[in-house]
Amino acid sequence: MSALDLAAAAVRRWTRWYSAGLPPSVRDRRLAELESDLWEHRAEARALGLGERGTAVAVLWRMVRGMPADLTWRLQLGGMAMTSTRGIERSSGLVMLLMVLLFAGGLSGPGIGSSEPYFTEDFPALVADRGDHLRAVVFQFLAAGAVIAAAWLLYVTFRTPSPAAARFGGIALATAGVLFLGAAVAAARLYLLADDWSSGGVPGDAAWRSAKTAAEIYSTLAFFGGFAFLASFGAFGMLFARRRVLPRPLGWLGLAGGALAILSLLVLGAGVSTGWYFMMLGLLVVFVAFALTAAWLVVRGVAHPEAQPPAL
Amino acid sequence: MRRKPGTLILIERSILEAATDFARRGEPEFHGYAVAGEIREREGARRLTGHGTLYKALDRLERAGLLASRWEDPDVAASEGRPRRRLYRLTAEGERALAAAREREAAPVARLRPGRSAT
Repeated sequence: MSALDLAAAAVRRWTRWYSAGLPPSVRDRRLAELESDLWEHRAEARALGLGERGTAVAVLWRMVRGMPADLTWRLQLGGMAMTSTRGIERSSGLVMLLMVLLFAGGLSGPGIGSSEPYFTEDFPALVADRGDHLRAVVFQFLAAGAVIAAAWLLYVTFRTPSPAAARFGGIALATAGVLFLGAAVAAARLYLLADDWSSGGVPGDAAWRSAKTAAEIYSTLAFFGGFAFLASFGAFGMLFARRRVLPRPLGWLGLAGGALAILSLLVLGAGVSTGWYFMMLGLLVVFVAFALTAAWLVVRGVAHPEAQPPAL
Repeated sequence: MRRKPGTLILIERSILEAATDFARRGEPEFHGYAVAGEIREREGARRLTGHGTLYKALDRLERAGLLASRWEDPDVAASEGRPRRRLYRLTAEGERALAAAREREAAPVARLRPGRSAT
């Protein structure tokens, strides 16, 4: 299966998901229009002699950019009755699991440091492994889309027990998704520049300098995206721990990860480079908390507030 | 945020402008991907409009009566070995809405003219 087939399959799956539960005539029409669009996009790319990978990235990018409009269209047509409460919970869990897996894929490419001496060491290695880098970029785009979708789903899932925490967590997670999307765009640009540089570039030339700028943008956006990501789980962790909608240890785990990450910022701010280890450990803990929460949402769902003592 | 009735947002305006271009070229009907390509050309953009943005706007314009649509004859699609296209065309109401939007856009310039000529 080619990269373009995979991209088309992702568009179909996404369209089937957000149009689920609509009247068949509306749903079938949207699916058929997207099918025609994908066919025309592929046909035009072929006629223009464009590469399959580049076209696949363009198709995925169109899907990701259209996601907010897809979701608002769906809400306008069907409101929150899109699926049952249990269905939303299960979807939240599945999207979160997908997000964790996609993040793992996004981290699989060659690393790139934006400061010296790391950039000078890392960029030639990235040029040599640019195929792996491109694969990681595709994962990063998909992961960013999954983060945005998870933000919306988690907000819908938890807004009844705690509207403020759900709103803060949802906004923080959506912000993280947008920042990750920006980082993925910078990573895609880095791939194009690496490709240019591979044909006879020398350290310090224009492509090299542009690549360094792209690496700096990537690092900055990924860093702030990571911070927003941790802040979101801080809010959801607090919600789980206080409202007992999910097992409390899940909330504590998320809060512990967030605390570790904040501690790492303070340590890094004090100029101690081992702060990165705290940051990585914090992210690892939050990812484990995310994965366990996701699994719980899929299998058991949320304990609804009717069964709970009065709100705190 | 609700917008004023009768106003067009950017993507809707772009679609209607593209539709008039198609009509001017003797192609009164167009499909979704074609309009995305036309917008990219017209606006010198590097990328095509996102799927959701495009089809949501087409749906909204059709509900507002500014566009009309039909499914292409399945035999035509089959003979060309591709999926059926949903074909859109600009309605008279769509033409009026676009003309009104252009007029509104030109209005502040017209108001400025007397002041500018006096200086």
